[in-house]
Amino acid sequence: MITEHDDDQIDRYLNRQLDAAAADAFEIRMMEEPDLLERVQLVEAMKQGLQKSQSTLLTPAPVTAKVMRFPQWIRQPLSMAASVLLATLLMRNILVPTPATVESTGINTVLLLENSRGTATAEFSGAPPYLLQLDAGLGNTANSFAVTLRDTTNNAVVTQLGDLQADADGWVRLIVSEALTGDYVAELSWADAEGAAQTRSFTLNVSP
Amino acid sequence: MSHTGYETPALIATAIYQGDAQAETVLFERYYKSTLYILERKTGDHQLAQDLCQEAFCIMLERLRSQPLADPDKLAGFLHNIAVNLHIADVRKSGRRKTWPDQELIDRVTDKSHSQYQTLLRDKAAAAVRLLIDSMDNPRDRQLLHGFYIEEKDKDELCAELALSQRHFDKVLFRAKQRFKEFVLEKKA
Repeated sequence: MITEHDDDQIDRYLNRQLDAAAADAFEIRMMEEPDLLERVQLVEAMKQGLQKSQSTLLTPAPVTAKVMRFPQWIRQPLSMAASVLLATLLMRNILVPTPATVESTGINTVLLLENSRGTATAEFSGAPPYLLQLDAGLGNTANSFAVTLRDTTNNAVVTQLGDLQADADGWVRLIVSEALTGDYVAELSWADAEGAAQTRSFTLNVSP
Repeated sequence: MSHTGYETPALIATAIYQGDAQAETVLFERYYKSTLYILERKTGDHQLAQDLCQEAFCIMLERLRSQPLADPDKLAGFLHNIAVNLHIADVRKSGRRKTWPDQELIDRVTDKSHSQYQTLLRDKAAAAVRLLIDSMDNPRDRQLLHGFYIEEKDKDELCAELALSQRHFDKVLFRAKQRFKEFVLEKKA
């Protein structure tokens, strides 16, 4: 199975950034591992294709819209659902007064906790609210995650939240409103495909 | 293709030394494509790479038939060494082609093992790249691909320029490659 590390090596090989000994070792691996050879050829084809399409690459993605006549538009399932929702909201608005604006929370500081940091303490400074972003690992398909943030000086739980979802890149996010100062441990836990409990801990230091 | 009895490089090397013709075919099937690819990259010339590759296999066969390898598990390393030395010699002195007694075997096996995958990539890469670019909504991801594959900028430099972590950088590239592969393998590409 090809890993991100293999891909990194492949890019270096194709960009001729490996020294002679590393390039030889990589080529011998390619001879022994057909999957690796296929990946190298794939990345090379992608690179060549991108070089040929370089003008398109930096062109903003076009916004395409299909113009539909109103009767066609209204017959679409989502349009029908939207119409029902709109009608419901209008009714609610008439019956129950709602605030004029939607409540929003601004983020002052992002606390990015990556697995690549290893056991080193991540240092941050900034004011609340914080966006706490934890690395669950690329391809982690667990159904839900729980996060516990503890103050390491007294082991007190600052915040604890379950039923969180990871995005496609393996990030789990939550907002912490309370001001943080000092050393903390963020613990991310989930159940793997076999149902076994898994945890990842990240140590962080936050200063105002 | 899997052949029982030739699972490891050492089994192939030993079988060839013992006069097993089937093992010679397995040797070609297992290593020809990759050796040719490596030589193509080194020479930048498909025809020259084919000539050198065939020559490398002939030398390899002669050696394996006449004398067992000291470390038969390093068969790929041994073949790689022959191929690289032939390339170096060729750079020094061109026009040294000759016909080998195993030409018939080489032609038979190399025709068969001509990479279908490479043909697929060649035929579909352009369309797959278009689909890949269209599927990338984030302008920063597009900038990353441009910077890395077209401008050939260093990873650290690009991460700093685009305010990305190395992990995010790796993910964008990994995902782009996976998507490209899917588009190549898809019928619509």
